[in-house]
Amino acid sequence: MDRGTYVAASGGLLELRRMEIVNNNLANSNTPGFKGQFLINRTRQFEETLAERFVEGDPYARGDHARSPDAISVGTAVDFTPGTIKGTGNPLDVALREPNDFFVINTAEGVQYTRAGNFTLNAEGEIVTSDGQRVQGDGGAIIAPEGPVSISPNGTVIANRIEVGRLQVARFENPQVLTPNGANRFRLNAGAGGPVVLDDPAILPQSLEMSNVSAVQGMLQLISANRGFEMYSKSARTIDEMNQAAITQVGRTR
Amino acid sequence: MIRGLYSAATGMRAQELNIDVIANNLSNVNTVAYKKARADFEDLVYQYLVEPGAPTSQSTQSPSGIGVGLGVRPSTIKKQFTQGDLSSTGNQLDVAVEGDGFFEVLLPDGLPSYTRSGNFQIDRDGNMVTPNGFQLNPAITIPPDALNIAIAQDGTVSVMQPGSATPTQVGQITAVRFANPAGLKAEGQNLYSETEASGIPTIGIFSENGYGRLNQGFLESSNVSIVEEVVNMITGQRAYEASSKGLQTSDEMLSQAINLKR
Repeated sequence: MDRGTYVAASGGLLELRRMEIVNNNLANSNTPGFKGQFLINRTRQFEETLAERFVEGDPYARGDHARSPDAISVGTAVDFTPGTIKGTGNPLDVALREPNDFFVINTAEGVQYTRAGNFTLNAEGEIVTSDGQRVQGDGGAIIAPEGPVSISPNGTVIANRIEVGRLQVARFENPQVLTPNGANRFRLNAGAGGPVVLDDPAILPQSLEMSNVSAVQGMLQLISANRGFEMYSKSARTIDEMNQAAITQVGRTR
Repeated sequence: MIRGLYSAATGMRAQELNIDVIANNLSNVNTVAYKKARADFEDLVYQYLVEPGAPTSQSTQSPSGIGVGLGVRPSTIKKQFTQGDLSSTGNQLDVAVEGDGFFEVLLPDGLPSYTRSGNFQIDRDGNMVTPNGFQLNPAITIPPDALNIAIAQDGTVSVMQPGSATPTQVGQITAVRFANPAGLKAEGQNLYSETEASGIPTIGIFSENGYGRLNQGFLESSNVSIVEEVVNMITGQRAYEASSKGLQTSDEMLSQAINLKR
């Protein structure tokens, strides 16, 4: 079988992967605190492998399946640019001003980080995320036993005019050490350095950071994935036609 | 491929729900003491094809792995108990709560229910009831010969009766508060019921300690803002459209893949 088929298939698989990621981004274009993902190293890796082959000057290596650019070996990364801030007027909605800051959430699977500040209270009056996980304050969970609750721009939680705690905000030098975990939260990669807890965080009360997914960019990526896939499938078909010609025409005596 | 199709579909479903919630808010823009709801979403789990930190050669690791997200789901539809505007009606049986308190009413099956809607009326026995006929708990009975009803900020109800120069107190409207009002279950008819998430009701007196105070002759308007809802409707519709394009493109790619084989 012609090796070019496998190269085309691997390129096609890459575009499929891109499509999956764009679809997930678009599905979350209205999710608070969501950070879009993108594929990394794709073009460079493709060109590098091609270039390597040319440099080595081994014509027989071209299209070699074992050395062809492998769509599966690319990585995904999270785009941590801030999303748009929406004023909601809800006293328990908070947004973070600085792009590398995160709220700290105590979950059953350990500490996780989020940019989604759509908090609520539970039956005990503790501040929790929308799926009920406790939000970490300076001294554990923050309990606001009686309302009205408000959160000040430095994260202090005030319930019935009494200060009841302060939201803990962690800053990452490089947020790429965080991996998306679902439920609008990120977890720290194993072995990565932890964040710095801020003494004076900058919070926007009564606001919510929305998704940073851009519909325009998403549409462009969709078109590019679609056409890229089409291109690879055309290559596969051309190779198929050449094979067909070889089988049916070459060696025909008349 | 199938992953892309499904994550686009979850996006469309989520925005459908978003529009449902917005439409309900808009239809209750004139409902007394209606509290707007908001659908919040969260990303679904990520499928890691390559874990971050997995070895890519003997000395290097994948810096971020390949995590493909599987779409979106609604995390909550949460009522927002922000104060609605008070509008003056001049009706002496209309009371608006300014603050966090609720009125407690008794349903016909004897169970308590809670409301912010203070558009009370009097039934044939003189009891103060909601427009659906549910009595306040504890019941307040207005004597048939009452000339004038006064409801104080702390909920004391007094009436002027013929032949008397001083008002007679006939009862007190008690206030109820919850640790987490957003956890109450909306029952329709402007009523809410207690749940595990709301916490148990604390009973107190209006104008004391965070219960809010009563304003006779006013009604609390719905806290729905039309502009906000319409803006949310636009973003919801566009998000739906974007996901539908994703679904369509997934389908086109699938079709191209299938048509490779002639």
